[in-house]
Amino acid sequence: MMVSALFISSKSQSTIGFEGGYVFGFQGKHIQIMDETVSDYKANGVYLLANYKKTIRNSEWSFNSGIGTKLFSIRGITDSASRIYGMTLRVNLFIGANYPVNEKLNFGLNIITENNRDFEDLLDAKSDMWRYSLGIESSYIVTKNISFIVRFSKILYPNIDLYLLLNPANQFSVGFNFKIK
Amino acid sequence: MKKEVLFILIIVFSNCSKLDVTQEILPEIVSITPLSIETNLPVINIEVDEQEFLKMTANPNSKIEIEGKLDIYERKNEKLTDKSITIEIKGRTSVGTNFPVKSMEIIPDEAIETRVFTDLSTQSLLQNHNLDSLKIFRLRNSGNDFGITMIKDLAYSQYARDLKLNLELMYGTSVQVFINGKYYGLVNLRTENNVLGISNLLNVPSSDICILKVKNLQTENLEFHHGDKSASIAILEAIDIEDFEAIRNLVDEDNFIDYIIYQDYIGNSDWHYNIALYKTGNKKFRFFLFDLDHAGNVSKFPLLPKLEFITADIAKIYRAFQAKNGFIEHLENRKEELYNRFSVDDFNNVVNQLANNIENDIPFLIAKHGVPESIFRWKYNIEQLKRDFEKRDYYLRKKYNLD
Repeated sequence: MMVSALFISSKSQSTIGFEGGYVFGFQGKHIQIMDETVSDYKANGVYLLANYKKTIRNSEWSFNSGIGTKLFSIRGITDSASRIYGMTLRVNLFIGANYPVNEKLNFGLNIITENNRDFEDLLDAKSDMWRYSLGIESSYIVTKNISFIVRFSKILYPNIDLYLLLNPANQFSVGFNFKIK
Repeated sequence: MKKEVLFILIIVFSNCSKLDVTQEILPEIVSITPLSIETNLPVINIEVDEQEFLKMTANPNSKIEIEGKLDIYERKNEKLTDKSITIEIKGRTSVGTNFPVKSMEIIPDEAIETRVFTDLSTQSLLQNHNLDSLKIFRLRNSGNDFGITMIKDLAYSQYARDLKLNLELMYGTSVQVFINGKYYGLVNLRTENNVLGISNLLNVPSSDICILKVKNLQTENLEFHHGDKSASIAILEAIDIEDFEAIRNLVDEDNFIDYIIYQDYIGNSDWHYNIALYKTGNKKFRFFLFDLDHAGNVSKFPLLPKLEFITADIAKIYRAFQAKNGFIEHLENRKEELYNRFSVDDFNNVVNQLANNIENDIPFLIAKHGVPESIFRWKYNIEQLKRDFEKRDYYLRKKYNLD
């Protein structure tokens, strides 16, 4: 209903933007794969996304949605002193709402879904194909068309070590959003 | 449009994760011998003509048989037996260039006492099964699980045995194999389900056995495969004309029920295609559980309901029983009973035991063939195997309201 209310509104404003930035992840615990514990875990990457934002009629809230991709590089050391290196590319979709705290500062809440396993597994109807996370974000309007964005996301499901290895449970990102329309 | 988007996503992002490991110490495999390899597994050395062996492995579908000699070494490098053997490459999809280790069927000139393989000889046997000696066996590359976990088929078979299902199935254990004293690979020594294998397993004469199998994967029709062809005529005709009463009189209902429930439960995506059933003497046809390296691949979709409408011969057998009063109740009762016994923890225990058994031997396979990519990756694959089982269990319990 909220979405339909958005689109039938003639007074609401909409914007389209592109965003890019740096993302790093942490687990908050040691990852365990069989008898191996992964320590000294580090995860860094970059992300790109396109978002669509529309203000909700008669409200200060705005609806925010988008599609993005993230390239993560991870490393760590196992109990048997092996160094592990990983690389993963994820596609994510998000939907949420933003609220302006003041003229410059916005606060938002998102539900994010992304591929949890490689897409080739999709054809085999394998389990755990999708990962769901909860995200909070804050944006600061730097100029009319540029905002500085800070985000934090935490995994909701499937929260198991096997999948967290390449795509950490907690992710923090900073970037800039460029409004094009 | 939805399909096109999905297709593009798959092309762009398929195989979008990499996991590399460095500093793993791998064994030196060029100079190891059957006597020097550091392993707790049985070791087999096959002596063959090098050229004949190369020709056979280069033409895996040509049914080339070669002669050789087989030595078996148990722990502490004690040579236990040596036999003359006949070797043939076996396998349908797991014999290509991606599989440097080929699956080989071995027929020794004299049966080998199973006690030389401690793990195999101490496995609990299902009713009427005999494993005192091996007249035939396969050195299997783990099929499509080659280079992934190397134990998937063994794990799903052992779990079926632990459940004491009313089935015929394979027994197996991991072994290290050398060819002419050179390291070849880690494989699963496994019993067979051809005439000699069934004769061995059930202690019945080969002449009493008739085996049917799906040979044409397109039609999914059962055909006579081996043994007494005359025993296959009645059932194949009954299936062909869909004479349901005749089918029911020729197929063991209890065995059929356990077979379809287990194949469905484990989500064996190879099922409906890879099917074998056999009969001995005047007994009914029974299904044989084998080649489970595709199990767990399909996590979400139940396979059992498909039997109500697909054209495969196994579906005709299902519909023949379905038409019988009381069958559905029988099936549902057994399903409920088995789902009360199916357990993720029990399966994980089986996997952990089998994985621990070969953990020290995986490095040899990596050193020789480069698969799995690393010991850590193999452990990751083992965890994925357990997770896939858990998810299949979860989905089916929800689907059938058997939580």
